[in-house]
Amino acid sequence: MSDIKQQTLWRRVFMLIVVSVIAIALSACGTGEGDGGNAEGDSKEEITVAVVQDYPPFEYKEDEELTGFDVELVEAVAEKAHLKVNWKIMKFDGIIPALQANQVDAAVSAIGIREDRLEVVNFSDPYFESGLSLVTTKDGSVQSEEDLEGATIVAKQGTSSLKLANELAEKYNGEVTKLQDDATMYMELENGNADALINDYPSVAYKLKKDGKDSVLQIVGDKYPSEDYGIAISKGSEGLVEKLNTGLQEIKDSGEFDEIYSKYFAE
Amino acid sequence: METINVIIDALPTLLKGMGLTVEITVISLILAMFIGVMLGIFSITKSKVLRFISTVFVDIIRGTPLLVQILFIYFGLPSVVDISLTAFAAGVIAITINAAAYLVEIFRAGINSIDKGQMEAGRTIGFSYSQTMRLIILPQAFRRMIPAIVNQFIVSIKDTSLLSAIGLAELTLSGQSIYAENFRAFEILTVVGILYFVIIYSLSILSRWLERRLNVS
Repeated sequence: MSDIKQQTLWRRVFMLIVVSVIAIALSACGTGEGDGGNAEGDSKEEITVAVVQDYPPFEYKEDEELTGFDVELVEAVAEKAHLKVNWKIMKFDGIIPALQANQVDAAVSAIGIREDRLEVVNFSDPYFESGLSLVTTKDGSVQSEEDLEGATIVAKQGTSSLKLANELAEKYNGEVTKLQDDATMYMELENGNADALINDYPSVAYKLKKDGKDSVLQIVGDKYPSEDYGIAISKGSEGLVEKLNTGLQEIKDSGEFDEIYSKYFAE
Repeated sequence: METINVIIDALPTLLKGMGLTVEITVISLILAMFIGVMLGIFSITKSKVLRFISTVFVDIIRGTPLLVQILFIYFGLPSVVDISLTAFAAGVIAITINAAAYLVEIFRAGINSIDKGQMEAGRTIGFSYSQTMRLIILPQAFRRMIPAIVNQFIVSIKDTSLLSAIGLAELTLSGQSIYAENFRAFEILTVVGILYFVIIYSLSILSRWLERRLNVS
């Protein structure tokens, strides 16, 4: 009896130590995201902008800092329009609902300006021309669009890529898998759970560049046309469209836009 | 009127998703009961090794979030071990081991809640350990466990919604796919909620019936 008691006591002490060590280690890591309102003193109007954090090169985190083409662009536009940006990170498929519910004022995340989206949110002028790519594994069974017969195609929830994936699946009697972020989509393909993937061309190009020579993935065929990207703006945010459009025009005129562009999309 | 149409259009997809949710739940919970009973018995044996196995399993599973377990099984494991799991298989495994870990504790607590005198009485009238367990202890313990087991089942049904993270088109993901396309989040999520309620309420009714059936008084 006392033997068991002693055992549990030891286990408790041991677990306590383990847990403490983990807790201390984690708290030491500290996120360092102290966002203490900067005491600039100027009364800039604040806007909340929804963004994803896992879509390089448009938006991603580098050393805990949110960055990327979209992020820098919106920061620059907001600067011109005398606005202060509060970023709100979320999943892509939650962005439009958040705009509809007025939880955020605007959103940027390589969002294509689409008819159906225009019904529920406003868009700024387009700032990026894109396209969609069909991606497969180099040694896989799909080497051209025609090989998609009965294939499983993976795409991201709520995107234009998913629309195309559904069309292709219909055309070639395939299946569609929906995931929520890029990393898992590429894994799905690399693990062989999917035969092909549809994603925005810039994101695919970034992935291939990052993988370098080791990449098991390849782009098949030409780009499929897709919508231009714009900044999505909640219908409840009065006057924000004009402000952002003016800002966008200003940075295009000043050459700042090209600077940011070439930083992320240098050929 | 449009609301009604939105819901009618969505129903076939949502019901299909509901079917998958029920399917995963049923398979997982049956497997979890087996594993749970086995490890539950391990945890009350005299063998230190068996007790250790059971404790380690329970502590690891209870000490990590289910979402992490799901992602680990589906995305983490295959990149190291040479297995390729379908999303369905990964989902069933994740829900099974998770529910099993909690059931182990329910079984252990249930068996331990029966007074020691019962075992002593059984042994005194000449039953063996296993006979006493089977004929005297377990029937009493099981009756006490039912509410806790049903509770865990309900939690597990709701946990299946996390499987949307690995692209399994269960009820939650079916709903998300629809409002990602037509932006009618309110209507769709309302229906999704109602459908979950239907599944869980049916289980509650079943469990009440079961408790009444097993009531000795």
